[in-house]
Amino acid sequence: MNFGRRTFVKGIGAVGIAGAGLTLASGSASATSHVEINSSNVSATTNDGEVNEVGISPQFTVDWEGFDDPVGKVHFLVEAQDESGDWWPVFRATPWLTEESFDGNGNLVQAPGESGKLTVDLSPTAVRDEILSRGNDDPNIEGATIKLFDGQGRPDYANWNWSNAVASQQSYLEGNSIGSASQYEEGGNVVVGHGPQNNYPGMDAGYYGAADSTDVVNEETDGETGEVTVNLRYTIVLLGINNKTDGNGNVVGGSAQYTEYGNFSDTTTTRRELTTADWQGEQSTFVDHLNLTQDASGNSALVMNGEDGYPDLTDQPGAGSAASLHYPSLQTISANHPAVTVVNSSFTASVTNKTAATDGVSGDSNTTMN
Amino acid sequence: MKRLLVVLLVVLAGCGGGGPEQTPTVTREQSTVTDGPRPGPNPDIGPTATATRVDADGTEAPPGRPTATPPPAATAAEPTSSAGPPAPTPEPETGSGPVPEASNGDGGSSGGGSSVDDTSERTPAATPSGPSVAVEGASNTTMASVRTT
Repeated sequence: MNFGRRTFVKGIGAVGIAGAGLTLASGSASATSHVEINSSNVSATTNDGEVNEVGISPQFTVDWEGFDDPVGKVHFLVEAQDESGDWWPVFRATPWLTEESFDGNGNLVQAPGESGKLTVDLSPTAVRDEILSRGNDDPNIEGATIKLFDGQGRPDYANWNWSNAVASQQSYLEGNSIGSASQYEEGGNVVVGHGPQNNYPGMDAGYYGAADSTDVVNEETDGETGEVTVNLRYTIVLLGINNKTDGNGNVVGGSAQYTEYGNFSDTTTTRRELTTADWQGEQSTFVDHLNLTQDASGNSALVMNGEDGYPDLTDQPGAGSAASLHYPSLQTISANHPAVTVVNSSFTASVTNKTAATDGVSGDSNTTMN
Repeated sequence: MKRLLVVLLVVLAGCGGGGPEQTPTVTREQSTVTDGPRPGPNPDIGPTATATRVDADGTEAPPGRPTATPPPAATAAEPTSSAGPPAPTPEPETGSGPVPEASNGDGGSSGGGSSVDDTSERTPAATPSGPSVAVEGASNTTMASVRTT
């Protein structure tokens, strides 16, 4: 269904609220905490009223405290609305948290545990391999902005060869089952047409494309300025520690160990979820004391799922287990579950089509007579 | 029959008069419902918020909310609870311990005498603190065009 430009502006405007830095949040925890991801307005003036890309490079920090079980991973999903107001995933990632680590300025950037922190920096210039792919990334892959609208537009998901993928179209778009980012490379046996613009196979992160094409923001009329409210939605999920896989994503059999917890000979590193005596020096001792939160398959599960009176994710029809990342289910329970936070943010994108004009002609004929 | 009705009316009038013994009940009820911690499914009171709700005298009161006796109008509404005993019937479990039941109390609309509590027992230490999450950041929006003016 195609909407005219005016219709789009009007329709989206009714859903969202224009303005920079607007943030709306849901989630019980957010009621008493600061929850805000600002989005500044953007504008451009071009000769033809067209832009190539509207994107974001999110940087945000998640702090938590007071959970009964330690948080070992933080999943986040970024969605944007298309022209008709439907939400589409544009990026997702699930950073694993290891021991406490600091940036070059001594600022804490990540810490697992019942109380902890994660700083996500998706700016193109940031070193994000450690966060997004646990050091297994291709160093030649550079960061890029997450494209919300671009010239290619949303991938043609409906016509992909889903029989070659581990996921169905529905599970892919709703998050339940995704597979590796490398499955969705352009030219592979799944993607038909252009691939997902926000896919970073070398980092094993991303998986998705833009929500729509830049047609939704382009201004066709000379001398006019088009203004569109763009709505974003961040869903942030706190997951527990599991011991299913090693650093390469392989299942570790037998006495599985949580090998992602860094160098155990480094006794100076703080591991918040345990007392020093629990882990110091001995990896086996450390594992014994880990308070795992995983489902029957060994996947990291939502912390405090169904505990202390909080909602049970598995009660949602689309979630198969407590480790499910079924986006609609997570967003449904976010209002009452502290481990799921939804942050809405909006900004205005303005494009001016510069008026074509002749600014005058000057010169000299340089007449001659012989 | 008429005599019975008269007697019944007299009895009802005696019970619903808003006797002085009921005023403390209302006072405690308002304190409990308005300021009580809300653990459980809707734990929108985190440790930080709880701390800001503790007054110097140990009672909990959010800034800007009255901590004094509720207005007389509350007393006038008491006849609705005439079926119950007018004397305080403390239910300590409503104010202490991490009971997961969410009262969702936002003003004592539950009425009746069943929410009576002894505020003196509601020490800050007994206030349950649920998990909390804070998120702060920026989307860092961009708009790019190959051909600009």
